[in-house]
Amino acid sequence: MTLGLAGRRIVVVCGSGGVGKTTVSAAIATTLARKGARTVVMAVDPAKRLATSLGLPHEPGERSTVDAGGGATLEALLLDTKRTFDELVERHAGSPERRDHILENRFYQRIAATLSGTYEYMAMERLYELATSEDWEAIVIDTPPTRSALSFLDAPRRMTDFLGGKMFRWLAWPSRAAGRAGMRGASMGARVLSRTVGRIAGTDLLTDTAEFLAAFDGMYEGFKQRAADVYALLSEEETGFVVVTAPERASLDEAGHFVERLTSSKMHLAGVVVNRWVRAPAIAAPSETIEELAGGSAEHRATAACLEVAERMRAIEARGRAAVEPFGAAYPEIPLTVVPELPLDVHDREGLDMVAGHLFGRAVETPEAREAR
Amino acid sequence: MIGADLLDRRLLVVSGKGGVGKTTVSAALARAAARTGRAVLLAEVEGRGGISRLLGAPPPGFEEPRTRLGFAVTSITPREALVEYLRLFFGMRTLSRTLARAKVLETATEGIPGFRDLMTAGKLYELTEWRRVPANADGRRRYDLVVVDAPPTGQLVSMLKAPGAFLDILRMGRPHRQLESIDRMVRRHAGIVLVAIPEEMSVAESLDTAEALRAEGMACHAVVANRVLPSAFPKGTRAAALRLEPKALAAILGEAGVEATEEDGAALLEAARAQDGRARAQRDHLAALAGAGPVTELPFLFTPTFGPPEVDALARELVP
Repeated sequence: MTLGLAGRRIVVVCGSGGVGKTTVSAAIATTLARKGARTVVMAVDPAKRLATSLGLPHEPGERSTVDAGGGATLEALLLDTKRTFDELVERHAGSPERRDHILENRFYQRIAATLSGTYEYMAMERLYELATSEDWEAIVIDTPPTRSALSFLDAPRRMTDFLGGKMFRWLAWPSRAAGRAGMRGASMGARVLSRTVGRIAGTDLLTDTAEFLAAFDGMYEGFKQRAADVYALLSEEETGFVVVTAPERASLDEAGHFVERLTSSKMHLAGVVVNRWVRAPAIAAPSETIEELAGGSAEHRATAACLEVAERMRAIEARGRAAVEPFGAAYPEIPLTVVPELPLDVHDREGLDMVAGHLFGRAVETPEAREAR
Repeated sequence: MIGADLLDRRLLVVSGKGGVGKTTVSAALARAAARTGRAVLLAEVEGRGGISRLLGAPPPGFEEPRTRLGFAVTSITPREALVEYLRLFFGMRTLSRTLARAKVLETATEGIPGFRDLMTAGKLYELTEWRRVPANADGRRRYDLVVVDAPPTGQLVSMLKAPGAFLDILRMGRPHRQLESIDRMVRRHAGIVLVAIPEEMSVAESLDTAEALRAEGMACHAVVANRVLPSAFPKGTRAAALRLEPKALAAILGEAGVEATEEDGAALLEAARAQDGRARAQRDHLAALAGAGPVTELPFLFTPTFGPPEVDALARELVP
């Protein structure tokens, strides 16, 4: 079954690590560009050879124009997490003083780089910007390599939970309350936690945090609204998620979780791509025949070797089938698009075109080529 | 075969790019060590059930059940590690129970940068060092070796650095001294194993990670190249295989009593040549991979299922 992206302006490509998300998103983007759409792709961590051969940017924050083949081009950009976060702060800071106060805060500098989910959230933030303030007809987003595909969807909630959440306030509470008498008003949980943190960490940890929190106060509402807008964009009909998986149980389990999460979040699944599927040649010979051939002339031995390769592939095909079948049974209504394992790593346009051919069923013509015909 | 002294360490941290078979290789290392008579624990960090899926066993949770491959397994979660820490070192029995139920704990482990990593490192310290002291043992099982199925390479260095990073924040007292011990364990005593597959991205990431480790004063002690393909054409057959026409191949098959069309011949040749190409490309990637550390190769296992017998087979490749 081929991948249906009709009506989708935004395509979010996700899946667990190592399944070929970057290749699939590049193949989707070049296909959409060749169909005539003004296309932008946000790459996360493309392989160097692929990046070099396509002319993708190498440094975070960079943009480049990429030849999509057949006279079409598309724009590619690499996410710069820190800069995106800084811009977000600038937008919501309200005053230059507050902005500088936050940007220079040690705690901010740490979370901007390391807070779990920052990367994912900034990818979404960047997507929102591309979708709302630039004029694109097709936006393809490759998601960061996370342990779990789900963490991409959880990122905004986690960010706002953390920045606005009670936990954060509790952490900052002891230093804010210093000088104030008593603990009236603080809940039992807050009291317990602040005592624990104080006992274990001392108040050192809290100073930077409290300063950051003070500066962040008042900015939080805007921040939260923005996160809600990003989430709303992801739920719109024009946004389609493509889940990429390897034909392996772990990867398919992950894909299943993701599909369920999309459904419960009222987001739209465009399709599931089973990448690098091994399909063995149909012909098989009994092992005695292979043995017999292996004792013959060079041609006979070569034939035996070919048959042996086919046998090995058959075992792997069976393994893939055993992994995919339960998924198909659990989600019978979900279309699966199978991309076979290609002879070599996909590292250039030719390889991408092969992937695109499997995704969309045929070589995609450019409007110019169609006219010429 | 892996370096002889690797299994003499008390802690092996196994990492690699997503999808390269970290869990499989971790289990194979644990199995190899168990076969030598060592008491071994395989610990999954923030796992998603990879070990139980691989071994066909129920998820271990924070317990340490033994598997039929001769080693015990556990799953480390930062939340449970924190609760255990508070209980062990601060006697906060009631508090830790209260906290265990509170949502705030989730937010703390999720939200504070590096906190998850710190809790994980702390638990590893408990497993490998702390409980070895007889006074601390309290009936806990002692292990000669703990093998950690760690997060992917992207998060490896920050995980290893977490205890040191918190030293700046917790500047005194008991936690500070504990952090020093944990930091020392991670930096000096842990063996770091990178798993790679002989493909461009995985090799590049392994080289980058080895470099990042060196920059932090650590090292990659072993590289395991997983899923190494056998050569498709045995010695003396390759030239013939590249020369052979589909029609001729179909004819040879026909003579041997296997009915085959020209298309069948073409499909067979295409599949075999593709695998030949992949196997040859792998050799180049393997050569490059040596830059990350001493490489041990594990063969691609062409089996219709993948479970404990395959883990055992790979363990025997690691330590014959």
